[in-house]
Amino acid sequence: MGRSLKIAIADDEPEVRDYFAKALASLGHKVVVVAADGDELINMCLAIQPDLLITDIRMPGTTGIEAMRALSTPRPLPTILISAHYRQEDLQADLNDQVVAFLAKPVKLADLSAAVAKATEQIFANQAI
Amino acid sequence: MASESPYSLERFDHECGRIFEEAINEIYLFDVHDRRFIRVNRRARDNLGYSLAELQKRTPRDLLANSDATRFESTLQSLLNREVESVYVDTRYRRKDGTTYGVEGRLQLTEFGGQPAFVAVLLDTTDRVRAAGALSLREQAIDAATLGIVITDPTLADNPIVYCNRAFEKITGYAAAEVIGRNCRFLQAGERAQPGLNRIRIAIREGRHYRTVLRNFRKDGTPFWNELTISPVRDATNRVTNFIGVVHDITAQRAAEADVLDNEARLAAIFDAAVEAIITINEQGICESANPAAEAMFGYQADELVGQNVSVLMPAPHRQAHDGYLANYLQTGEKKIIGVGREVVGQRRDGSQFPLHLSVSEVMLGERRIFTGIMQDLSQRKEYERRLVQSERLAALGEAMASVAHESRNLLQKIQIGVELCRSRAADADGLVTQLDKIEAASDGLRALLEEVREYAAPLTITNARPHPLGKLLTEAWDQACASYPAIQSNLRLPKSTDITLQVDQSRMVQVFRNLFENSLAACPEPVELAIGVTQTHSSQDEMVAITVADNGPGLDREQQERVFEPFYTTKSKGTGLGMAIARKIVQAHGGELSVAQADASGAHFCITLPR
Repeated sequence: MGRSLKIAIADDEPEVRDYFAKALASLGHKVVVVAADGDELINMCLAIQPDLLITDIRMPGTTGIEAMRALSTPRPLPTILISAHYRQEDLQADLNDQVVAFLAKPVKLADLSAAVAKATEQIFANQAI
Repeated sequence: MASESPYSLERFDHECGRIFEEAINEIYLFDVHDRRFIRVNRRARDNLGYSLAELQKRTPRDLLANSDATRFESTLQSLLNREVESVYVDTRYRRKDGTTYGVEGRLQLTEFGGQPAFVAVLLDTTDRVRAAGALSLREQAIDAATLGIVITDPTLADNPIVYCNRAFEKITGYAAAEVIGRNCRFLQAGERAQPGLNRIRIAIREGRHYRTVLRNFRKDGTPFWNELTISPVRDATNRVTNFIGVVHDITAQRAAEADVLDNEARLAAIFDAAVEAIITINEQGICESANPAAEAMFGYQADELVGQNVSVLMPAPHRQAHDGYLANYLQTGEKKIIGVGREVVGQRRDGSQFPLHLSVSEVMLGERRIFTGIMQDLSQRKEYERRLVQSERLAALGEAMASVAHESRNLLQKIQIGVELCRSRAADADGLVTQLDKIEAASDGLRALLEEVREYAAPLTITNARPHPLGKLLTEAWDQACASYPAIQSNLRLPKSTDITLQVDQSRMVQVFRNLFENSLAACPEPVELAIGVTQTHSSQDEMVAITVADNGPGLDREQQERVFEPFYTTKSKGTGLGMAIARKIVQAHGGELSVAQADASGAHFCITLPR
C-alpha cells in the first residue's frame, strides 16, 4: 500500500470514471486525471505525466488506444484497457508489452485492484532497474 | 367385151371425175396462159373455203400465203420449157377466212380438153406435222425425265438394254453406248445377293410389274439407292416384247430419312438423360410419355404413368381441377401456364408433396395437340433459400447482438458499481450482502451469456494463427475447465502424440478444448476420465491432423448427435447452448472440422480435424 501511482482515468460514462477514481483513491493511489474522452485525456496529460493509464477503449472521438499511443512518447505509458466490446486477443500484438491488463466490462473492483496491483509491481520493478 | 366390162374406157373417164372429186389429196388444175383455176376438187375447195366459181376467177398466186410469186413463176416456166417433168411443192396456202395451212405435193404439166394445163396434187400437212411434233415431244419428255428410263428386249439373248434416257446416263454415270446391248445386272456390281433381286428375276420371268429398292453402283463405284420399277410391254398377241425399267435415285431421300432417324435418336437420348423431368400429355390430360428423371421425381415407373391422367401427380385441389383447367384452355385458348412456367406443388406416389417448377409448352403433331411439361424439383433450392435467409438473418442478428452486448456490458458495469457501493455500506445488515451477492451472480451470468452470443453471432476470421504446441493448448484448456468445476474429480490423459505443433489462434483453440472438457466435466460420473488421441492423416490436398476427445460419460444419443452443434441446444441445466456451436465455428474458421465421432463406445467422442 505504501507504493502509490499517479493514475489517469478515461471513460465516457461519468458514473464509471467517478467510481473508478474513488476506488483507486481508496486504494491509496493519486488519480491525477479523470477524462470523459480521448482528446480530453491527451490534453489533461500534457500538464501532468501519469504513471498508469486506465482507459475505456471505445469513446467518442479519439479512442482509448489512440490516446494511449499519443501519450506513449518518449516512452510507453503502462496502461490498463477496459472495454465492453473488444477481446484482449483482438488487440494488436505490439500493444501487449505496455498493456498491463485488459478488463472486460463489467469490471469488478476486485479485478481492477488486482490489475492495478500488477501494474504497480511492474512499474516499481522498472524504476528499480 | 370391152363395153361389157365395168372397167370400160368410157366408164373409166366418167369414174375418174368422181375419183378426182373425192380424192383425199387436194387437186388443182389451172390454165397455162392466164393461170386461172379450171378445176379444183372438193377436198381443196372445202379446205380453202372457196366455191369453184370463186376459184375460177383466181390463180395459184392468189392462194400463196407467202409471196414467193417470182419463184412460183420460174417453177412454172421450167415445166413449160420441159426442163423438168414435175416439181416438188412445199408452201403455205391462205384460206378464204385468212388462216393458212401447209401443203406439200407435186406439180406437173398436163392436158385438159386438148389444151395444156398444170395439175398440182397436194396434201394438207397440218396433221402430219402435228403428229411428227407430238412424237418428238414424247421422245423429248422421256429423254428429259429426271427418272432414269431403260428399255430391255427379253426376246433377245440375256434380255439386253435397247434404250436408255439421259437421266439414266446421269444417274449411273454410264453413256448409252456403254450400256446398250448389256444386261442390267452390271448395276449391282458385286452385290448379287440383295433380297429384291430374286423378286425381279421372277417378275421378269412371269412378265409382271414389280417395284423394289436395290443398292446399285454408279460407274465410279459409288453406291446409290435405286427404287426400280419394271413394267412389261406386250404386243397384240400378249407376248412380252419389252420391259421398261424406271430408275429412281432415292439416295438423298434415304439420307434425309436417316437424318430424321438420327434426330429422333438424339431427341430420345436427351429425353432419357435430361436432369429435368419431362412428361407429355394429350388433350385429355393423359400421360403419353415420362422420362427417367420424371420416374425418379414422382416415384412412378414410366409405364405406370403412361395412360394415367397427369392429375395423379398433383395434390388436391389441382388433382380434381386439372381436367377443367385443360378443357378451359382448349375452349378459350387462354394461357395460364403454357409458355409461362410457374412454381407448383407435386405429389409423389407415396403421397409426399414437394415444390417444383413447371413449364408447359404446346406442340401440334399434325392434327393432334400434345403438351410437354418440364419440371425441376425445387425442394433443394428451397432448402438453400431457407438456409441463406437463415444465415443472412443470423448475420444481421450478429451485428445487432454485438451492439446489444456492448450496451448491455455498460449497463452491467453500472449494476456492478451499484452492487459494490451498496455492499461497502451495508456491512452485512439483515442479509443484505447475501442479496447483493445474488444480484452480482445474476449479472455475471448475463455477462457470460452476452459474451457467448456475441461470439457465436459475430463473423469470425482467424488472423493471428501462430505455431502452438498441442499439449500446451490442451493443458491450458484443461486448467480453465477444471477451474469452472473445482469440486469434480477428474483426469486428463495426454499421450505422447500430442507433442506436435499446430498453427492456430491460441485463445480460440483453447476455448474449443475448454468447451469440450467442460461438457464432459458436467456430464460424466466421477472420476471424469478424458482421453486425447492424435492421428495424422493425408487427404488429397492437405496434411491433416485429427484430434479426438473421448470421455467416460453416458455419451450422446441419436438426437444429441444430430443437434449438438445447433445454437442454443443444450442438455445442461445451466449454459447457453452455444458452446459447441462456437467451438465448431472456431474450428471451421481454422479450415478444419469438428464432428461427433462414432458413438459405439461408451462416452462422448468428438473429433477435431485441422490442417497442419
